[in-house]
Amino acid sequence: MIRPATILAVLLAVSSVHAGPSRLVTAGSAVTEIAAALGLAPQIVAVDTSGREIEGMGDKPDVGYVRMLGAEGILAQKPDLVLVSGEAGPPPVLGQIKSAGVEVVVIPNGYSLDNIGDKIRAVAAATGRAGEGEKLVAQVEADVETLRAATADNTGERPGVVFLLARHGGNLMAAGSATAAHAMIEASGGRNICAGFTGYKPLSAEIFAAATPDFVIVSESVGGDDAQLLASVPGLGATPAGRALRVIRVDDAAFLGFGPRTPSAAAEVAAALRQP
Amino acid sequence: MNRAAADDASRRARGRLVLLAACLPLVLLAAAALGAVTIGPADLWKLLSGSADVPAVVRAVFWEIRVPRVFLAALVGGSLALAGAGVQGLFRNPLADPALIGVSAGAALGAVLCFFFGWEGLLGGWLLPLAAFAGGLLAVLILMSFHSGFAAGGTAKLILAGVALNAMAGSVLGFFLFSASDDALRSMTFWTLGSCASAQWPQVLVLLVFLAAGSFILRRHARALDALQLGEEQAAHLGVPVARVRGETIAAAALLVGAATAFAGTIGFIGLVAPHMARLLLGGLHRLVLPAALLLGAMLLVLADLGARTLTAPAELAVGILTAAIGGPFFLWLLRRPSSWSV
Amino acid sequence: MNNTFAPGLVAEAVTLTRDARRILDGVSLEVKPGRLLAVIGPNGAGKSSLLSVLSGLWKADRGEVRLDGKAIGDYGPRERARRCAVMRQDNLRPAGMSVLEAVELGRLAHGAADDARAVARGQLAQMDLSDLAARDCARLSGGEWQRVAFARTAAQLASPGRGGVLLLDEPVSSLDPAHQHQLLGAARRLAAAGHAVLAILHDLNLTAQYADEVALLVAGRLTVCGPAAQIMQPAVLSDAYGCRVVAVGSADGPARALVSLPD
Ligand SMILES: Nc1ncnc2c1ncn2[C@@H]1O[C@H](COP(=O)(O)OP(=O)(O)O)[C@@H](O)[C@H]1O
Ligand SMILES: [Mg+2]
Repeated sequence: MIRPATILAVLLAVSSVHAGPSRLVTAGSAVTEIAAALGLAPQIVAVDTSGREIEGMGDKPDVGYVRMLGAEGILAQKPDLVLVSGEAGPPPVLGQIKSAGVEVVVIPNGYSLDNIGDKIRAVAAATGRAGEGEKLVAQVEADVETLRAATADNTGERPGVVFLLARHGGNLMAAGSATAAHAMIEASGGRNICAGFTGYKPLSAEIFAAATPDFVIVSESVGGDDAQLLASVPGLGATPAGRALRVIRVDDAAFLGFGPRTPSAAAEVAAALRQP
Repeated sequence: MNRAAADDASRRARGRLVLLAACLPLVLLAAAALGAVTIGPADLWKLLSGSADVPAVVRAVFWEIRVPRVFLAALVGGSLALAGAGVQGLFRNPLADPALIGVSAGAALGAVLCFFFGWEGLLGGWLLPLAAFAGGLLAVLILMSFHSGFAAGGTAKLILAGVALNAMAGSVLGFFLFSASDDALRSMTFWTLGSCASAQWPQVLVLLVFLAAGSFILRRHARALDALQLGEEQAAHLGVPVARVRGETIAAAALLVGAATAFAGTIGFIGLVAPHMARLLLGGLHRLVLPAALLLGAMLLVLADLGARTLTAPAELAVGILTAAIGGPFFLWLLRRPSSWSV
Repeated sequence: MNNTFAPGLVAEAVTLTRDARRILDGVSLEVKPGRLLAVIGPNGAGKSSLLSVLSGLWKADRGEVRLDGKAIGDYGPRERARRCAVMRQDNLRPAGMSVLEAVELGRLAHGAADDARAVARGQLAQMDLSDLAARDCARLSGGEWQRVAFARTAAQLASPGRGGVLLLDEPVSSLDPAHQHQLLGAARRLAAAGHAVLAILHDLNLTAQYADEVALLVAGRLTVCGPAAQIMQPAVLSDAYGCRVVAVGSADGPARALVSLPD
């Protein structure tokens, strides 16, 4: 959720337009991705752990997990701007960085395709790249349009989908409602069969008692081939419905990040869901 | 002469306490000197002597980020260890942990509720520590309602009530963790790992007040805690007001652990092990064990936090991983060392 | 009610019920300065419970206990401890404490000006324990620890010019014969010095040798109470313990001994 206060904070920060940072630290994968897409890669001196997955960012110093940042570690990179997503924290750490005289801009999280443009504009304004920002916004909006067009002519029953996330030691978790994956399944023209619960829950046979999915969406980073994957899903692998399942692999950061690549990643999934 | 031997032993124990007290400033200074931002000896001297000839950013890093953090770690570690020493002495149980009286579980519940409703930023960020502290205190108040005067077996009942309370808090905690959104869940998880990264001067002052109050209460009962090692009944015969000592010791431990947990999340190991280190080094008298545990806990957490902010710099490491990694080997070494005391 | 000042410890018609069981039933006795009272009786008779009531740890359901003329419940814990010292049957050992430090705990109620170390050293010397002063309590034999516990209890009363009350629960249960005499001899001397001493004992001959008076407690009732010579008779004891007790040796000579025999 975006709180009015944070929007105000962003607008205030954004209003002080400047020439752009020369040393930039970013945290939050969408923020880093947008900054890189705006051509700021050379100025980025450090990113958070998730940011290092993004192309070209792999060799930047790692300031750690976005929710567990340390003020001194970031300040040691001598940034003139710290750009973070809404979940960055702990909150006092951002205050400490500001108290050392370094500007911190928080880009609010938004789990909707319509928010991506706002994020891009906020990053562009904070970094003095309004022109590049508008170009990127236009491109993203075009991708969203393409996706909408592709899913608009869907008639009849939408295909049932389950999104699986690999966590701790290969345990699979299913995405319920109030998750980025849920929003993306719906945006891609699917129907999340796990909408009955919120958040990520460990996968169990019960999940498939009420409804069977037609598709499984899973991260590219999950190992093994499709058959192995399905066999490891309790209550599904052995059934005829399970064998008829199709697996769609996605780039997590792109599909769930609500960044510039998200609309096109969703379009790819939408296309896969429409295959008979 | 054995007369001399007994005096030697207590003089040696007191000497070691002085040594520990002398180590603390050195550890604090070392921790303040090291960090992701390099500060050379010359700059360090200028910072400490108040010279203005240091870049503003370096001054801010040192005085507004690093030094409060070092002090916070020292106060949190000291508070946890002191509370542990008090609770272990009271329960006459070497495995007693301040967590046993339910404070940590209550505090965790308070914090998790804050995250669950997305309130962690309210009151300028102070709602979170307040909720944690209130949760810890509430748990202990419930526990103390099982403490009715002095009766034989009262302590055993308190321990059992603590176990039940912890389990209940754990299941409520589990419910909120299970129902939490993904975002809140991650915040809760990191809070329970513990961290000193949020240190600021006002928090340091608050913790200092709590540590002073807790030390004052426990130091007054040092002799009573010694007597309690003979059993509660025997202590009562010796003139110890057992019910009052029990109530005040638990209250002091609750204030110490509640405040520490409120600002740094749950940090294990120190409350359990630092008091044992103190006993292994100095024997069983609480007028030595209490201050020694405080000093050892403070140094342990300052060093663990130093590791947390430098080992993977610029990234932070969870401090809970390091308390055991640093304290564990030292503790094992103490256990193996031939000593004049048995645990 | 008798409110005239009586030094020592007086119990009047004390009744104690726990878990709906009558543990003490109308027990009246007096522990007088200068005297050593032995309480004997079978296991489970309520001797230790009586001690808990006498020392003010447990409150009697009915009856009254007075210490130096004042109800025991009216004392604060410190004042009570300065007047009445107790050596319990279950002597838990403190971890990481030296013998000297453990004995110093006996002075806990004696204020800051008190020289606990000097008193403790004196009591250890009395019990011939000076050599153990620096030893860890956890590393003593059972008998050594029992003597240390006695030294601590004696240290608690070592205030010049005032007689106190000393309650000892089976103080010689772990001791060899020589140290049984040492400890009971010390208890006798404390009585002679003006303290009122009560000792729970099982050894009939030691009881006969050291007690001035004997109280026989059976199933929570004080069946007989009187001068030792009167109570320590085969007929009385056989009846109380439910096993055969006979006297051997001459009836008036020092060699007379009480022996219990299987039925
Ligand atoms: N705390 C207690 N609660 C209930 N019953 C007790 C308690 N302590 C002792 N008793 C019971 O009281 C009786 C007397 O015990 P005790 O005074 O210890 O006997 P002894 O004469 O052997 O010292 C026993 O039957 C014992 O089971
Ligand atoms: Mg007994």
